[in-house]
Amino acid sequence: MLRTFFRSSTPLTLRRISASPVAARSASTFIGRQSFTPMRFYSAGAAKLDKDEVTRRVIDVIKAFGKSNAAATITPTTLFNKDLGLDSLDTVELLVAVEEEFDIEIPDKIADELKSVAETVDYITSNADAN
Amino acid sequence: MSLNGRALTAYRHGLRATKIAFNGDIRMLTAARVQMRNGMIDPPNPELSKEDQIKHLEDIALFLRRNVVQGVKTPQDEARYHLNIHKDTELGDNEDTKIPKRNTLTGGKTSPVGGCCGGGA
Repeated sequence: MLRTFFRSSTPLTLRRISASPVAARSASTFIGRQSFTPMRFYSAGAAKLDKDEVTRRVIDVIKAFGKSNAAATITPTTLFNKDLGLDSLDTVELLVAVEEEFDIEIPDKIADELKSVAETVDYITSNADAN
Repeated sequence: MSLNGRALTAYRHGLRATKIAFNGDIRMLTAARVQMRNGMIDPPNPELSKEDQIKHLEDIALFLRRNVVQGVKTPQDEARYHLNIHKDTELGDNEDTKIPKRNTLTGGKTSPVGGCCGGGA
């Protein structure tokens, strides 16, 4: 008996909720206002990042990463593996750190090919989503 | 792709997933990443084949993304937690609760009359 009661009452509740568009609308505007935090405006000028700026930030990420053995002398030609002494796991970690810095996700196939600072910088400058 | 490459890809997915699951919680984030790196060097299930170990890590990444939600105590009310539900969190809807469970006493086959507490029939 109880179960049949629940079954019949469910559509009624659904109908009641959907029948109040005013409440639904005010709820959505409320949520929209609360969760929107402007990070970057389209009017902020060219979306493409400056190459020198990107290089500087990538080098900063590498320095903050801490595991590299040549932190003082990082140039665009520096290789992750040979010059910085990073193993394959470190390289993956470093690229994830770079992804987080620029708020992007480097596709797996491309990330496997990135071996140097310059290649990473080139990819980031070519990615319109980077910021 | 080589086995090596696939393992590294799985590791990358795992690291990204920790960022999504533990965003803003530096302590958990660092701990999860250290654990994940240790797991790469010294696998937790050495009896499994390498393919299965990679699969295991991919599954962990997926689980972290979909099924782990962190709660933060709200400053206003000590008894309440704010749940950090994000876009990857797996959310069921109310329809899920209407699917009868097969392996319970009351679930399974229901007579058209319905029954409760030994009643019905």
